[in-house]
Amino acid sequence: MNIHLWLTHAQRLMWVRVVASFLILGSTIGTIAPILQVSQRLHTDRNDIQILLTGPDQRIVGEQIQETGFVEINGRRIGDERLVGFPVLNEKGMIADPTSLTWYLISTDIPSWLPNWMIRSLGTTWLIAFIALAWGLSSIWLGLLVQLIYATVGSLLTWSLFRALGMNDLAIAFAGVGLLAYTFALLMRLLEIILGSPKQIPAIAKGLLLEASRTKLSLAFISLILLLLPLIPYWLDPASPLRHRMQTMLSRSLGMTFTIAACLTVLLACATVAFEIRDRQVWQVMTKPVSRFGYLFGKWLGIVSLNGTILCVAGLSIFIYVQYLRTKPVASGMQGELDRLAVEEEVLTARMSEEPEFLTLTSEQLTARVDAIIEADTDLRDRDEIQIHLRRKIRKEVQDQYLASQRSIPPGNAGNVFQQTYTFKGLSNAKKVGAPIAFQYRFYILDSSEHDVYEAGFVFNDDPATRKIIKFVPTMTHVTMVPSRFVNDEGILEISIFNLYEPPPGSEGRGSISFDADGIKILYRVGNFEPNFLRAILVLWIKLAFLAAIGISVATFLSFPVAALVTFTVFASGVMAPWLAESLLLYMPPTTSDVDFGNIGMVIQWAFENSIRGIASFLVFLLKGFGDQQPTSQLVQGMMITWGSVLRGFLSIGVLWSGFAILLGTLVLRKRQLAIYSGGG
Amino acid sequence: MVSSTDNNRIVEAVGLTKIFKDFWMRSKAKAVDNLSFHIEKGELFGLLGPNGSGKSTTIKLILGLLNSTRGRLSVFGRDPHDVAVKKYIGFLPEESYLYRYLNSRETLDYYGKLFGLERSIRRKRIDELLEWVGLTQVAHRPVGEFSKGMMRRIGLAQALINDPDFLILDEPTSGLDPIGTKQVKDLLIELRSRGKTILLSSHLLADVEDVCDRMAILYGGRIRAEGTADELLTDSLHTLIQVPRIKNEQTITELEKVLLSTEGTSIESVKQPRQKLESLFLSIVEEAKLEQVATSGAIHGGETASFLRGSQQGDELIDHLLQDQPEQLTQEVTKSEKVESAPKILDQLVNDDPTQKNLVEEARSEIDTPKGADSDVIDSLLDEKPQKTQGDE
Repeated sequence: MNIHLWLTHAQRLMWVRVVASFLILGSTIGTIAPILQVSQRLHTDRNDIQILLTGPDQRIVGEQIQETGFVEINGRRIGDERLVGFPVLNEKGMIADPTSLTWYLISTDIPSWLPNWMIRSLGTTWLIAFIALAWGLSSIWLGLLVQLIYATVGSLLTWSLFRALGMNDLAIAFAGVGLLAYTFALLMRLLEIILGSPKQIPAIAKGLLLEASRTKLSLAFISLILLLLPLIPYWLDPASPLRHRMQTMLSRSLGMTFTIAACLTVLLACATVAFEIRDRQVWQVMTKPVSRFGYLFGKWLGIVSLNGTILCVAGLSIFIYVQYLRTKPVASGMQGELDRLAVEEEVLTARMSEEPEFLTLTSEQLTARVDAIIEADTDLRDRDEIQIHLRRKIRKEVQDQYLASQRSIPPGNAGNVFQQTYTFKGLSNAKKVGAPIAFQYRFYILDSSEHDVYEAGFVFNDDPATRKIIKFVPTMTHVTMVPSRFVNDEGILEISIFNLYEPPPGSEGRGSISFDADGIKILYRVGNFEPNFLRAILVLWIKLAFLAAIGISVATFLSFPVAALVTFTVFASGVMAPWLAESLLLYMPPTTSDVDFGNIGMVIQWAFENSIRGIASFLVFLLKGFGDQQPTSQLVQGMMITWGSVLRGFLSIGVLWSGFAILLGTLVLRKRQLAIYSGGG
Repeated sequence: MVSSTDNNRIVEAVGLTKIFKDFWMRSKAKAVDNLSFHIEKGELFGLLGPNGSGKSTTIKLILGLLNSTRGRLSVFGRDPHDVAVKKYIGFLPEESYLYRYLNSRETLDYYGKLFGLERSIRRKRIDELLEWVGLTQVAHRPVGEFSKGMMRRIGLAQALINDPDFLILDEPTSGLDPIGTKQVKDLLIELRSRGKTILLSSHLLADVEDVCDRMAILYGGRIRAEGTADELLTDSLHTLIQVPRIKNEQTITELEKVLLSTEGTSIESVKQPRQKLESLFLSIVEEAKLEQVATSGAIHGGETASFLRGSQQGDELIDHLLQDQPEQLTQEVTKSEKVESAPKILDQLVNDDPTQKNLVEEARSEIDTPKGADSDVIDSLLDEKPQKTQGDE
């Protein structure tokens, strides 16, 4: 106790703070400086090797690598003996894949203590250094030095204990819990200072933060996140490929964080307003110079700030663990190398996708075909009048069938092989970046059994020299890497797919390869994982802000349990909105002209189905934007989350819909009489 | 200070009616029925009535927590729902609805921020208010752990954090012990003397009677009587004469004869007057405090926050002591601040130098002693025997 008091007193002394600051600064610089130095050197070497392997002397360099396994750069020999005899040159005497070869050569020169990702993105290294420094200095100058010492010592002791017991992973997990909890407390303190202004809205926001940090409801959820996050690695199967572990880690950790944070948001948003109205604390507030809007906006700001803190802590922890997982060993041999390549090129990356262009029937062609169908159908032909919605339905079916026919490649027959050519446009950026691009495909054939393997052939840009035969398992997603030089100067790539399956006699015609509308696509790298991860966190934050606005708004006129139920319903509807939108395209309730109003059963059916459609349409209109934003799955698939999509989400969900919800709540609160009748009449 | 259309009226209600309705919009209860009254600026107005008479409803209408069904109501000349008006109002509800997870300091800090008070002002006021309500020692305890009395104290403190021009107190002494009640009453008198307007609602008649300038008595949502304490309470049919104790019963007989001959009436009763139970209680507690008997919970004795009583320092304080309020004078003499306000004189007393005594006499002669004032206090400071002044004659 005395030591604690002494430490608490000491941390307030100026000289202690200054000395501690210098210590933090010194240790951060001492740790980061060597990393930055090596990273900088490797960056320079990488650029120089890339120039060498793509320059006029690349043939000579390639032969040297094939003979010795090494290359001379900046006065040093870089390479590996295992490259001796490796065919780095193609038939034309050019380096086949300079980008991959560059990376392989550089990787042999990376010190074992330096993580690969620090070389790929120097900016991230600087960022981590800055964060570490800010973390340490904030702790000192916000008066949390003692807590930092306790958290660090506690984490170290836990780590040592579990390591001594041989449970290394648990050691890291529990050490992580301590540091996470401390970081959360640090950020909350920072927030309280930021919201310390003597204005109504920041005061109410700060009040909500205090409520969140002192009431059981919110503490339970926050503790759950801080405890579960470090334990997620235990759910990873160590025997599975690194790529799958990485994706599972990202998916589960972000998914769990968002789900728990969403539950906390809904319950806290509903509770803070509903309970204050019920328990009359709102009387004390509304008799001060606080507007209804200011009150609700302050509450919303507080919850948004809390969510920001949670996502910051969780995001940091996930990010650090991903970088740690990145360095984990893979299986030996080619399989392991492919696994590591998949991690870097398909998961920890930011890619755009392009789907092929399909031809569509013109309006005249559609009309002609629809007329032909109606003419051919005796029931339809004899009708006096074909309803508009029926004609629309038939047109859609005809168009869908035409598109589907382009996504089907017939099987071979009597030695003949059939193929379809697909054109991918808009790949200029992919060509510019120069990195290999991924051709992703998921085929169906016959019964689409996952136990069978079939063959298909690819030819690029009609050049037989690019012919490639692949094996595929139906319904599973496969990827084939394609050199970016295959894309022409207009950014166009043509891929011809050959169906190499020939059915046995008696089964002619069966065995077409088919795929969904998004069954084939080109994926190419446009950015790095780190900024993509940040954008994913931002989108999650925006979605939580919307939930908070809904919860606060409905709590102005509903009791807590009902408000929570309504908000959870909105949340669930939002998640299902994209699926709902697709279903609505196929859902055709009867129109008024189809109903015999003398038949009560038909009337009820008509009313019911149209009500369902109306409600579903309204939900889709309201929540499709919310549901379309799926940053977790995009991140797991290594897909780019653009700043444009973040901005769109911010404006539509964050500003428009959240603002609308808050305004609605304001109107309700203005109309509502907050004081209840307390007489005896 | 907010200016109103009629500068003297802080609250004006005309035909104010409030009917509570159920979910189906059927009338359920008429809480306030055609109420018309006003509260003048600087007035201490009392709202009396039994439970369910409409006092709290009237207050809630004034504060904009309820909407009136009919009639007109203005506060500072504006609609009660006007947010700007709230800046000048302090409100203590009948129960203190505070945030249980905040401690006293945080509670006052929170409400202070809602008024837009700067940090330095907030801190000063919080320290003074906590001192005054006797909660300094429990300033860091969550409000949820407070007793009812402590809750009322912190509730009162939050009502005063903005130094309001118009203070609304709904049952302010509920849950307070007699000392706390006395403190509240003293505060109300002090605030009124500073020109504040106060609306006091209570069903404890003695509290209202002691302090209010005017009062209205409600029943069934209507005003049954309204006026000053004298107007309402004076018994014009009787005369009360107070004399020192009469030991000789014959004197009473003689008095009766005189009354019979001059007024044609007789004595209805003869008895010894009683002091109020409150006065006895206070004197017992004061005695215990002087003996330094230990107690827990809220501590009494904090002086009124300086921002509430204005700036009284140095010689001004001595002038204040010499005003015509003997009871107040007696109490303020015991305060340490009084001693601090005359450092020069005290130093001179300690020196005991004849030349200094002349200086002291000169200092004393400069003090303007009003007629009838009790000069014992000054004399005790100057350590001289009381001298006859014009006022004594």
